[in-house]
Amino acid sequence: MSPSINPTDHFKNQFATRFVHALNNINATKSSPHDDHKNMFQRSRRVKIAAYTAMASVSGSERAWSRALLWKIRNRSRNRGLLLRNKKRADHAKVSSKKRNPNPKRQDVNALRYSGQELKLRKIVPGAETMDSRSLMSETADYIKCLVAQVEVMKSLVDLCYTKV
Amino acid sequence: MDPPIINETSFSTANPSSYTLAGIWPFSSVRMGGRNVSTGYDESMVTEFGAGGRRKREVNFEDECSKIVCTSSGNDLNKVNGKRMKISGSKDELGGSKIDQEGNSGSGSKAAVGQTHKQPEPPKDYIHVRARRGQATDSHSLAERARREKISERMKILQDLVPGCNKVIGKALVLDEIINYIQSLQHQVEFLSMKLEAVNTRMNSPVEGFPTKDLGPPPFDAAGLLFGSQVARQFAHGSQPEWLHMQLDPRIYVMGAKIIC
Repeated sequence: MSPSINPTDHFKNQFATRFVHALNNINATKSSPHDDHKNMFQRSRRVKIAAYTAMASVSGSERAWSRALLWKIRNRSRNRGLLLRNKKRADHAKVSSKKRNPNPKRQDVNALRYSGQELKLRKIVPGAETMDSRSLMSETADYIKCLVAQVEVMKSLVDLCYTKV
Repeated sequence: MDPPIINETSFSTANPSSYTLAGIWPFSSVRMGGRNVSTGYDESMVTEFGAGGRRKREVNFEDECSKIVCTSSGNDLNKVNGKRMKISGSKDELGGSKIDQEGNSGSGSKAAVGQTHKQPEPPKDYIHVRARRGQATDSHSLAERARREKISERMKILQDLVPGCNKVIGKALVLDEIINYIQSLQHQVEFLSMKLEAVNTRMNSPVEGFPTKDLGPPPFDAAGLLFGSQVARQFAHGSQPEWLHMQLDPRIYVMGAKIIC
């Protein structure tokens, strides 16, 4: 009720609101309860996507990772089925890191200097394939903060559900 | 380049020129950098005679000049002056044998005049990157060093975010820790979404009246709308951040470990 001053709390508030709203939507569109495994996985994937979407949209568009995340989610769900998502993401990461890099020499330098670790990090953080090292660090820091807040909110939601059931 | 053949006359005639240089150089260097770089050189200049010593001094002086100019602020005038100064320094070094062989004070004073003529303007402000002993001093190296320092600064911030990462030494290991942490967080999100989905389907109570446009209410109100009002009442007495931290339960980690293993 009281306006939160802490940006993390603000983020948690906004994220929880949006996420619960998205969960509601998923619940509302739920069809007849035939419980095969495929359907369950699909639904959990939808929950996950809803969580990531809420996180990215709360974080705002000034962050590169949130922009990239939203873009990926939108294109994934528009083009193909959700089950191919992970495979396609991996392929896309490979292609885009090859295609988009305007200065291949620079990446070679990075690869030499960090011996693969930084490239690995670039694959994990969304939208980080084309950043320079400095912004990669700051984006990663912001991404970690948001992920931690997301995990906390989701944990508390799960706890709420278990106390209810 | 070997030291040139020197006879007595060249010594006797070269000495005045070195004295005049000694008179001019400290003045110029003090005016250039505002530093006392020349006190050490004065004595060596006076006590050392001979072409080899003088050439060494010239080289030293050139190094000092380039350092001063390159560490000074990045306005273009100073840079240009620095380049010119470097070129003139190397020219002097090349022509050192000529000067000594000719041995007349005129060429020496000409060199001195050249030095004083090409001195840069006093730098207005400094960037805080300074070359230590043995480090490269050209502007590209300095810029690269500044860039690396900024990256390591952010790396330190990142290290503070990741628990248990402060003890790790080495960039590669730190990056490994960060990657592991992000991956574990992503896995946690996946696991929690599975759990939430299971709970969500088990409790078959679709909520009708959830306000779609309202983003204002704190999450326990929304949760109350979703999961029933008594839970909301249960948690409504505490303020929101307390509620969020109160709910963290080590039980979840145990369950997650069980499921993963």
